[in-house]
Amino acid sequence: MSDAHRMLRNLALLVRAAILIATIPIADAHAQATALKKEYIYAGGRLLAIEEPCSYSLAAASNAPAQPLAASGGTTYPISLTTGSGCTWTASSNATWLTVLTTSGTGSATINVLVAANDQTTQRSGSVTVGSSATLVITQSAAPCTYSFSSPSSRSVSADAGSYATTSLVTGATCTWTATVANDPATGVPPNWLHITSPAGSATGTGTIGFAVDRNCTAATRVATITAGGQSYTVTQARPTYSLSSTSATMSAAAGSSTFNVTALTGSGCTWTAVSSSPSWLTTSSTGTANGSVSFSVGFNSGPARSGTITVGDRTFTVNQSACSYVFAPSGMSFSKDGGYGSFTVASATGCTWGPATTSAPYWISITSGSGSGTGSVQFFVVGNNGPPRAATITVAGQSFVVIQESGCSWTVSPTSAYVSGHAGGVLVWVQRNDRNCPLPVESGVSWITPMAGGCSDEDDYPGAWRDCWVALFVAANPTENPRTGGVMIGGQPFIVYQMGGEP
Amino acid sequence: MNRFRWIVVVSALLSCRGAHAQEAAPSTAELGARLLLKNAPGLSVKGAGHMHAYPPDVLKDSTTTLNKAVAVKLVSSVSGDALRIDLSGLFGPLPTNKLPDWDKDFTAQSGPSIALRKNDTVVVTDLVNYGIATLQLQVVDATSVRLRPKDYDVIYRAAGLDIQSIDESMSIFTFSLKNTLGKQIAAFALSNGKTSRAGSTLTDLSWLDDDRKLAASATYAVACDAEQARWRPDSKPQIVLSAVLAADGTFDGESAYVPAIKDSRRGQKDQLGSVVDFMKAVKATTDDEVMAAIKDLKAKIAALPAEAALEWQAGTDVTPDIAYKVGKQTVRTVVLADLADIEKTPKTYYGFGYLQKRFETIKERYTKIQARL
Repeated sequence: MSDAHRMLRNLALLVRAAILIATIPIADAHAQATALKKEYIYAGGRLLAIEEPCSYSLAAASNAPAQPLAASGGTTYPISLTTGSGCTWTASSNATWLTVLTTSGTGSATINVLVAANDQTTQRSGSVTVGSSATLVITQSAAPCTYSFSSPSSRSVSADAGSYATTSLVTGATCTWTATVANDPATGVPPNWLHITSPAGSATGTGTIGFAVDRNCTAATRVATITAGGQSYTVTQARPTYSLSSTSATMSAAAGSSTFNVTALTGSGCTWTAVSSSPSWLTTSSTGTANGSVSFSVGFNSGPARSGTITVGDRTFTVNQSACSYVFAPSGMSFSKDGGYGSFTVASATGCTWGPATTSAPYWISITSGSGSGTGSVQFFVVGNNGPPRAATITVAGQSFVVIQESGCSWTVSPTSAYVSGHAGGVLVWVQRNDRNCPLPVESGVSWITPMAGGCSDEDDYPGAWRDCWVALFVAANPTENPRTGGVMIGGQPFIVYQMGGEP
Repeated sequence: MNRFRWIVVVSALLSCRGAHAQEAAPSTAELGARLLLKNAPGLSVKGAGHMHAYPPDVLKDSTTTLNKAVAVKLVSSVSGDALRIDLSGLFGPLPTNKLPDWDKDFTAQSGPSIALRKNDTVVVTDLVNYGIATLQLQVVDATSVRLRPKDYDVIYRAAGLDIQSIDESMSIFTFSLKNTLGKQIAAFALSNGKTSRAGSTLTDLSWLDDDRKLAASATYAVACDAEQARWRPDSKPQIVLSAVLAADGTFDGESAYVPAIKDSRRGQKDQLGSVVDFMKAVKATTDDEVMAAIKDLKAKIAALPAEAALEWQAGTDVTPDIAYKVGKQTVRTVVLADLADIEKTPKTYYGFGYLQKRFETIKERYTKIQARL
């Protein structure tokens, strides 16, 4: 271009710039799509100011990270703005997650943009614009997928076969996942009793996992783990459960048997087996499926009481077996003074032996049969009793049977009546006892006769031994001249005193 | 520790034998201990034996203190040619209407242990402060001696009993009586031949558990204290068979004894009849029922006439009415004592039918006796 032409063009620009300056305020830079650049030239001996539109260009700064940017955000992204030195500019973004930190300036500059974190699982883009045409697109990577089971993340199921679903596996809508059964740590392979029924293959977004369990007929609970999106869901399956018709039984010491019923509450169809804790004396061989009964037997118990258990699945049945016990019937007997034969029953379990019986009074109780087994009787003989009432025991198997015998005491009173004077004095009454251990029972029926003394010979035998005792009665003086009479009991017999009148 | 200070004095020899001419019975010489308490009859034990006695002075004094003995215990044992006598003072309850259980109811404080030979006498003093007056101990010849017929007089005012022999020991006369009536004898009266009936005795065999004692031709022994019979040592004892009652109700002898024998028995029979009827109505199967029945029975028996009614006019013989009443009252005493004895049955005897059996035994005994009367 020639100088003339250049001058003309500059002139035209100046005119146009003047017109623009005259009509548009320069300060309104944001609204101004294109700023004007003023240049001064010297032409024809004159200094001319020439204004022309600014151009802008945006590009990632050399130190800017590569796009797409990390989803984590929180970083400043630098943009290089290239423009004329007099060109003013404003910068803006079209995305809320892009915050322009350097919003305006003049001339070339670096525009910093703060990039927020992307919590979405999709990639996103936004742009920063300067002027009307300078635009730089910024792209940020999508957020990674997360997965979690809503609470609870486990489930217990019965021993029966059945279908269930987990709680929701929560994840992003675009996130995909696949449910699998984790390996059993013990075997290194997934348990074969838990089956994923849905989804078949992979799934996207939040959802539940359908699973099915087989019947658990083992004796223990079992556990398996469903894994999806890196998360675990635990499934615990109980062992079969049962109820028993009773929880315990008490058996006598004798060998015997009994039964109880089993009802399968869960795990129907599973086979159960009754197991004894003490097979040496408590035996059972019962087994069954579903409902049934258990038969068990106990051996004879010759020792102390004992207990054992029978286990059926999750239930325990207790068997208590008594030691040998002995019950007397009756528990004691009374005999007349004449004595006689007696017996009592000893009831005990078959196999329980007892005896020989012993007595605390062998001098008047003879045991004629005192040993046995199971239920039997003790037979004995009680000799006649001449003395006071007496009691003794017959002991069998550590227990006592009481034998009581009536008094055999008898007394011969001689005389049975006496006439006495009205003066105070004594009356001697001879009493023959039939046994030296018999007491001298004397009781007066009147106040003026007082039993005052008694004596006995302790000789076993001597002439006149019949009068081995005597009783002395003290008869008070009769205060009136009228005779009186009174009765006394001596040895169960009446003794009558006739007292003459006194001397008032 | 002894609570008494016993003073023992061996005194002059005394003879307790009567003046009767005697012939020795074929027995070895034996010794007997005789306790003489003030105002009390002589109490004796032959050979080894024991006795307990309330001195009469104690009976007059209703007060007692802890340091006052109320009774004396004597235990004799043969020691070679001597008798060893152990005396004790007994502390416990005052006398009542019954003899106590001496060993259970009293605390014994040992006194002296004295060996005495025949005819020794011991005076034990210094017991006054403890409520027991001076007492005397004698050891006498207790050999039983058969009296000769010329040594006594026997008068038969009733037929049916023959005095076969009389033995004497320690002033106790033992008569051997033979039934010559040809049938069971139920009762008889012996007297001393004196005008007053004091000293006479009646013997009724109906209450004996063995009623064969005076069957036809059987011999029965009855004892009599010489002092009680008012026989003086220096005179012949006179023995009078005053009355005999046969089991069939026939009576022979002095009519004065009719009420005391027959009407008294009638009172006993009626009373026992009432008691037996009541007992037969009892349907007691348990111990509690037996005890309730006994309580009820005691109340009924206790409602019988009081002793105040059992006096009669001075100078007259006992009337049939009085004798009947005393018969009833005496049965009352016996029955109440029997029932009280059942009530004392130890609780350990309960539950084995003992009470029921005891009740039945008494009922049967009363029934049997009632039939004899």
